[in-house]
Amino acid sequence: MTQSNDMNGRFPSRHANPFATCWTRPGALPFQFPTGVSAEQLVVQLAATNWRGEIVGPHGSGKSTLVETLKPHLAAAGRSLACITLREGQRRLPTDFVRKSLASARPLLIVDGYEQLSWLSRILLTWRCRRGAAGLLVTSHTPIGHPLLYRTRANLQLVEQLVSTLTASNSSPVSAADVVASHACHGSNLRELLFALYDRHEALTAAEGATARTAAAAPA
Amino acid sequence: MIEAPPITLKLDSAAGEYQPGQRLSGHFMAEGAVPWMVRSAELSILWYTAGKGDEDFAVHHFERFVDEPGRPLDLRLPHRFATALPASPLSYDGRIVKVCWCARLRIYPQQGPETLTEAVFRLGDVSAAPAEA
Repeated sequence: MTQSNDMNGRFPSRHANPFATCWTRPGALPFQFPTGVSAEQLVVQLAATNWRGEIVGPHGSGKSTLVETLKPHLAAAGRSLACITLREGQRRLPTDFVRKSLASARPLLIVDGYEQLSWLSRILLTWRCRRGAAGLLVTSHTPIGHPLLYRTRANLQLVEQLVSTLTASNSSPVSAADVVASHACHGSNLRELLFALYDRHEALTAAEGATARTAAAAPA
Repeated sequence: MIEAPPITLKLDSAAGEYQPGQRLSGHFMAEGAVPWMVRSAELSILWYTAGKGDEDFAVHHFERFVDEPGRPLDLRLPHRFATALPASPLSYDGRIVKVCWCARLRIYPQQGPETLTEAVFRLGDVSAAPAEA
């Protein structure tokens, strides 16, 4: 629960824009599961495939957010989590990451952005996990041969649900038509879509402020 | 579950506008007739960035108030804080990034979830980004 004073509208604050990174980054916003799917259910599904699985979806569609949402449930299932997020062009895992991860009890390695790894690095990682009785959960833009745990998609209904969640505590002049237009422009790339809504919010609030200043300056 | 009482976090300057080097002071307290059993309260004066990209923050001033045997923490009484503000970073209301200052109070009750209360203020007088033509 957060309480805030009444200066929020006057001074710079993270509450000024509900689409700012602090509200939308993975972990800040819980993954929006469709009806009939839950984090607990996905953990059971992952356990059934010997803790091997992949989350597949296009760029910005919520894979990292889903991983963040699953983490506490995986830890509650008794797995020791070792997580890494790979950046563009990172073809190998850092030295010692796998060795240190496998040293813990009931390890589960989570590799976000698995498709960045070279073919050889993937083979080696899979082999070492199997040999060390470790789980392996990966995210990728395309299927890469592990059991499919979940496929992320961002349809308009999900986008509207996300916007509704974000604007529940910090209001926005962004309209339903703006959301539809952003979705038409960015499709399932939620990251870009939310950036576009951030910009739209800034433009609308700046215009509102300019109008209010003009009205205040006008002679009575 | 025990519900948190309303918490007051107030800066002494009603305008909430400060200049570098100026002293910022204020107080916090919890309302209610019955004492709220808390383990500790942490008061920070900090800045952070908010916007579209990577975020940054730094704590300028920190105080911890702890409930101890012989020194119970009764938040019904006003607890004061004060600090001299630094030269930078100055508050900035940009379109891509905002530099925000606030007093932040985090209370850890003996039962129930922690609470967070903020009082935002402005350091310096850098103009906001102009609206696009």
